[in-house]
Formats: sequence, structure tokens, C-alpha cells
Amino acid sequence: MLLAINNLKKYFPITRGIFTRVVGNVKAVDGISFTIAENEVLGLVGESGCGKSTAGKSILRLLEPTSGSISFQKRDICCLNGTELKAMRRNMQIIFQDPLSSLNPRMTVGSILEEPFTIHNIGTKEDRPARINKLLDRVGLAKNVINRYPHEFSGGQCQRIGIARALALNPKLIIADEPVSALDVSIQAQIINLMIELKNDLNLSYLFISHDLSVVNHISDRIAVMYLGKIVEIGPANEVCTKPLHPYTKALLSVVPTPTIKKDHSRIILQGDVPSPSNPPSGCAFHTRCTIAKEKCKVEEPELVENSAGRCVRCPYV
Amino acid sequence: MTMALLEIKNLSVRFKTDDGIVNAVDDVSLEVNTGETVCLVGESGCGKSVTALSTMKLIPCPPGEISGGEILFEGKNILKMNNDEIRTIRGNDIAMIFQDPMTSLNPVYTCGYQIAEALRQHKNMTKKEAEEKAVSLLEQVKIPDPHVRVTEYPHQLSGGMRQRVMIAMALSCDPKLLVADEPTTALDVTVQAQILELLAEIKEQRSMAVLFITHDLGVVAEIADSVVVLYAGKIAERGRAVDIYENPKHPYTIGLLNSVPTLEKSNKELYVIPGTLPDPTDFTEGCRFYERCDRHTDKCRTQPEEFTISETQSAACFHIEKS
Repeated sequence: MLLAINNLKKYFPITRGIFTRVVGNVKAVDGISFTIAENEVLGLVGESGCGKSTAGKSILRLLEPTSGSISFQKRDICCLNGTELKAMRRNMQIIFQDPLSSLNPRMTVGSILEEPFTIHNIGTKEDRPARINKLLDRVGLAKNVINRYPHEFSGGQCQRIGIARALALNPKLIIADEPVSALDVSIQAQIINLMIELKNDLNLSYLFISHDLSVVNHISDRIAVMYLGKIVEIGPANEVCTKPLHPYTKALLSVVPTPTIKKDHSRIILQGDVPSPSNPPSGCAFHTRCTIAKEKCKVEEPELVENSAGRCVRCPYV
Repeated sequence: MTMALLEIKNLSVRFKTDDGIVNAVDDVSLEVNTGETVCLVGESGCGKSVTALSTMKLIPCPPGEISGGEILFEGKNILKMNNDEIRTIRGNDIAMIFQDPMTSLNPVYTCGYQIAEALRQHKNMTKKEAEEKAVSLLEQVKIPDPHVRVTEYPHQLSGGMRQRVMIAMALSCDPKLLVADEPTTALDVTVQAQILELLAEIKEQRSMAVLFITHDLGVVAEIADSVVVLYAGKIAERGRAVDIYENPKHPYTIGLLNSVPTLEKSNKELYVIPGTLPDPTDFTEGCRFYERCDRHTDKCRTQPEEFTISETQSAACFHIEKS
């Protein structure tokens, strides 16, 4: 197992008054657990505010987790600091959603790609150009980009630069935080194909975070569905998408627009908005919008349980 | 045959920029009939938003310039109207909703005030009458507790609710045509479903025409009666929704449909349209899709016209395959 997350939580305190006393918490990530194997893509899917991006950043300790454990290659990384953490970070990299704002606008592409080598003391000044060229080649960019600045490139090209940067240190795991959401359809296809090719060629694993179920289904081996800081369902991608169990997953899938003219279409339109993570509903967080909610659901919070078919779902009534 | 509600005829819009003249919209013609939903589809930079903004003369000139064509609304050319005349149409006969409700709603005015504004401007209502109508409109767009919401500011509402407020504003004067510029792109998929359902109901009740701009082919399949596909400022293909999805003819439309991942899991690589959009300040002669097209020949160095495929479908390509 490459990555194992156990009961990860990330709370953001809400403070009031001059003494900034904590009056509550935004429970962005509220106890999630999953594993990612070598050469596996786990899709993490959910809508705005469900905590998926926060989860991704917490795994890399870009945000410090509130509690829970994160093991990478069986090593607990929560207790690492300083040089050990820096060394560990070579194994896990990140690609961000907005390609342009994730690149330093004052650095040339060459400098951006050289930075990981400089920070980690890899190679020499003489051989870095060759390393950089190899990265550019991998992501399908011409060598003449090295002296140009990010603003001179399109969204798709910037994302390729971001991917090249993530590959520089030969990581085993890449957290891809909505990597194609800001891209046009035809460019999105290019980047998705590139990421699949890299996964196969370089034996990479991805935590692929997105709100777009169609994209996630295409690239993922398994999918975890998040709602209000918790995982409500997790299983093989194909099964989660064709035979969803949790009512939220069913609703989500029923309203994903697909580019075909459907003759009959049963859509589950959820009422209301997602509740606030600073004040989640009692019991099951989904009960306020659930079509099959019972009285018990308002009071008792269900566990994520594996059923006899090997599927994990957080609902006792499916 | 009854006159179309909106007729865009040979519209051309260009912008003067530091890098040269950008021909954003080039000889685009389309019609929207009463009660019809026409989806204008394309990727970034294809000219769809510029076309939509032109229908209400909202293109800032300069740097923009309407370099040709007419936009007829109920037979009258909008482009020839003066400021007073166009103001009687905006928000009244033609209303618009935008992509990001947070930046298109005024943050310093309450939702009620903003909805009432159009009513007071166009329907000469008093403040009280307009406020009451605002509450009733919020009810129509299914906002819970409308009496409370009407006193709230945009930042106090969620994205889905803000979009409903925008829809309420747009509907306030019973427009004949609603121009919706990517209204659900910034929304979560479950909220998008609510908004699309709402728009469908309203359109049905009021026999309203809708010009819906989007890049999302899934949304188009759900709501469109007719589809117009734009590429680099020109129309690539048009037809009924069923024509475009079941029998696309232009290589760009075909490429686009094949590059969208769907929920039906396939291990096939996504089709990728090679290359990128041409430079809008320097279009070469002939078909703008030439460099990226696998069917191009020398003939394509001249601009193809829109060739008729059927009564309802046409495509601007010399190499349309027979079905």
C-alpha cells in the first residue's frame, strides 16, 4: 500500500472577539479513511465545500491535519519535520486547478522547472538543462519554452508546465486537485490522456480530486464520494458509477449532464443547498436532503460499512 | 411563416487590442423563435459571449466595434437604436443572466432592491408595489422564505440562490427573450440541475424564447431545441439538437463530441482534436479549422459556406460525409 489515510480530520477554528476565542469549527474534513495502492488512481469526488481539496492539501501537510494518521509506504508522515519532511515530499507532489495562478509569473518556465532540483540538491548546474528538457518532452512541450513566462501560454500549456514540475522529482504519488476543471473540453481531453499515459509509463498513483464525475470515472480505478467532510461511498469506479448505493451518489449521478439525447430521464433533483460545514446537521449529514431519510437518520450518524459485495457505503438502508 | 423573435444577420464584431484587431465574431447569422431554446456552443474564444452581449448592444465600443450585420428583434434593428430606445428593451423585452452571480449582482444593494429596480424603471411601479412583486418573483423561482431573502445582500446567499435572484430579476418584466450566458457553469452539478429545471418550467409557463450560451455539451443535450456550434468566430454547424448529437457533420463538432468523457466507462483514449485555436488577430484565408482537421484539402483554403444537410441542419465544410 502506497498511501494509507486513517480518520483524517481538518478543522478550521471560528474565532470571535478581541481575545479570538474559538466559538466553533468549520469541519472541512471530518474523519476520512482510504488507501491508494501503487499505480492506482483514486478519484475523490464531491461538490463545492465537501472538503476534497482540503483533504488533498492535508495529506501533503500543506495544511496541518487536526488529527488522524497519514502513512506513506508504511511510514507515518504526520510526525515528520524539517529535513525528513522535505525528503518525504519528493515522493508526493501536487498539480493545482488554476494552471496560470499556480505558476510564479515572475519566473521563466526554465526556472520554474529547475526549482525542484535546486531545492532538493539534485543534479548539477550542468546537467539540469538536460533534466528539464526531458520533462518538457514528457509533457509534450517544445524546448524553446524555457525562456518564456507563464502568461505567454494558454491554460492547457500552463497545466503541462505544472505537470512537468510535479514530475521533476520522480514522485510516486501525485495529488491532482481539479487539474482539468479550468480547461476547455478539447484541451481537457489532451491533459487527461497525458495523465493516463504518465501513470502507465512512470508507475504513478494519483489522488484525482474533481467535481466532474465523468472525468473522474474515465481516469480512476476507484472512486470515493465525499459529502460535508465525510466519505459516503467508496468502491471500484465502474461499480460506483453504474450501481451507486448511497442516495447522494445516486442523486449526483442522475444529474450529470451527458452529451446524448436521452429518451427517458429520471433525475433525482435534490432540494435545498449543501448545509454549512460549520454547522452540519445532526445524525447523518445528508438527512436534510435525502429522499429515503428515516427518523433515526436525524439522530444517529451512520458508519462507513463494507457490505457483503465488498462495497463501502455510509447508509444502513441501502 | 411567422417572423423570428430574434434574427441575427451576418453579425461581425471586432476588437482593437494591443496585439492587433481580434475578429471575435465573423458573419454569424442565427434565429430564435418564440418559445424556442437555442444553444450557442463553443469553447473559450469562439465568440459566443460576444454574440450574446451584442443582442443587447452591451459590447463596449471602443475597443469593440460592430463591423457588420443587423440584429433584428421583432423586426427592429437593435444595432441602429439610440441609447433611449435600447434602454426600453434591456431588462424589459430582452433580459440577461450571467455566469457568475456574485460578480453580476451589486454587493451593496439588497436582493429585493435589485429585483425591484427593473420594475420601477420599466413598469413605473411605486417602491411598495415593486417590493411586493419582488417577493412574488422570489417565490416563483422557489427561494424559501422570500420575505426574508428580499432584505438580504448577495453575499448572504449561496451560489444557487444568487443565481435564482438573477433569474427573478431577469423575469421581472416578463421578457420575450432570455439570454443566458453560461448561467450554470459556476454551480455545482446538483444545483445546476435545480436551475435548469427551474428555467425549463419558466420557459414552458411563459412561452419564453431562450438563447443559452455554454461550452457544456451535456447541458446542451438536456435543454436545447436547436444548437449552433461556433468555432473561432464563425458558425461551424447548426441543427436541431437531435441532428447535432446523433448525426454531427462538421469535423469540429464530431471531434468535440468524441473528446468529452462520459459515465459509460470505456478504456479507449479520449479523442483529442490536435493543435490549438488559431491566433484571432491573424486568421489565415479559408477554413479556420484547417490546421486541426483530418479532412483538409487545398479546397479548404477558401472559406466554406454553410452547406445544407437537411431541412434543419447545415455545416460549413467541403468534406461532409454522407450518413
